[in-house]
Amino acid sequence: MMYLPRFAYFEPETIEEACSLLSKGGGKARLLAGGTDLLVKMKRGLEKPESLISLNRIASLRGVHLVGDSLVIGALTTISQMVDSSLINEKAGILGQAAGMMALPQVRNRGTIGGNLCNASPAADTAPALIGLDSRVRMVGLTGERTIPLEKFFLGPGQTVLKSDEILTEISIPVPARDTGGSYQKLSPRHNDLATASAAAVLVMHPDSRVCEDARIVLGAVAPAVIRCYQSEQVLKGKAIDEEMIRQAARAAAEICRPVSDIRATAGYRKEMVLTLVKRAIGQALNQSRQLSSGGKML
Amino acid sequence: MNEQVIKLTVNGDPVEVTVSPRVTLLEVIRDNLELTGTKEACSLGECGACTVILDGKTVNSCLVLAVEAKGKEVLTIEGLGKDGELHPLQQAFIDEGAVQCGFCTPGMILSAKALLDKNPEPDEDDIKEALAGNLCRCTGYVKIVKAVKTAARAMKKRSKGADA
Repeated sequence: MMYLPRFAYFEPETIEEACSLLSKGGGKARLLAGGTDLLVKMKRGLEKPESLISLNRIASLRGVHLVGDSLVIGALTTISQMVDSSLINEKAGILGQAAGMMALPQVRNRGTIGGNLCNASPAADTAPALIGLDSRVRMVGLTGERTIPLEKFFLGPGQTVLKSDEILTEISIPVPARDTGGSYQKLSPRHNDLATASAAAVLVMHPDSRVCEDARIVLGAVAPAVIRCYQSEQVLKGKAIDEEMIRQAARAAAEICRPVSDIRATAGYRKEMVLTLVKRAIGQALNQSRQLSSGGKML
Repeated sequence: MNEQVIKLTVNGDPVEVTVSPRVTLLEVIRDNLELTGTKEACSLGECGACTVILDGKTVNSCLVLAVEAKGKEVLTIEGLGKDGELHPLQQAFIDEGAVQCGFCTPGMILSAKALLDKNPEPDEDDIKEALAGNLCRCTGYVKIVKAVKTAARAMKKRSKGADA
């Protein structure tokens, strides 16, 4: 048996209580959501918290809701709940797609979106999709709250901008315009393995012409954090996208990524794969937006 | 070290145990309740040998703190048969030769049960996706997938018979 080390355990009923406990913990307390990352690290001896603060009694942290023209996802929403959410599948299909490709069913049933983002793996599947959708994250601390774009949340592997008393409470996604197509492409030995490289493309197309009004291209697992490819986006914005532009955008993405060589792949291979993944992501996003203009449902 | 008395339901029966927070649901199931059908292999949520159904969803019990399971319903492999009769999934695994050493089997069957509860007519891809979190070192999976299909047919027949 691999045992967990001892720790004090708290079950606050409100966010304020949780922040207060976190702050009193003086850096030796950890928040517990689904436990699928934290408990593994504790069993491996990589984390040795003196106390765990379970967030699971705080009902306000769960659920997927439409609030005005934003889709709001509570941080404790499990990955499975996101995959099964009809709201997410209708309005933010790329997120449902990405969430369905991560981990294993048993892990998806416990793992939460908040926990996944705070774990800040550069290879996480949800982050490229969420950044592609222009998401924001809300963080609550002892002295107040703040909301920032998700692309500013990650600092590096395992590091986020969260302060020691702050809790990520929700992710909000502006509901995409009708003619928006999105696609998440992941390279991994089996779908559920950690990404060797990944790319998300979200394209907002003009409904009447075939001109791309806005584009977001995001890469995962090829830099210390998930990165946006502004140069690739510039190639596509305001244009009627053709094959040559897609190739150009893919080349721009491959140029700016900074992958490492590790057990999964060499840096060179990852860079090569970015070319293919970005081309596929853009191509599929385009197809999807075309389907939508002719009356199909966003996948 | 802040031990708690927790109450939960296991295989339909109310259960009360005193645990410290660091104890996992897997330890409670195997050590406190002596239900040793659920196995520990990797301990890190990668192999699925410890799979149980918690409030209707499959989970790796090695990564669920027992205190997090209070007030919840747990189904282990021991909860599947009824009145000495095997569940169609258990029977199908035997009939199709889907059991060799048997170590992965409890977890496999529970993952399959969760699938069939949600989707009574899965195709091969659905089955493979649902069982993706359960590793088997013996069989090569082919007969396991066949057994799930066989069980699905048997369960469909059974429910048709019940309606007739």
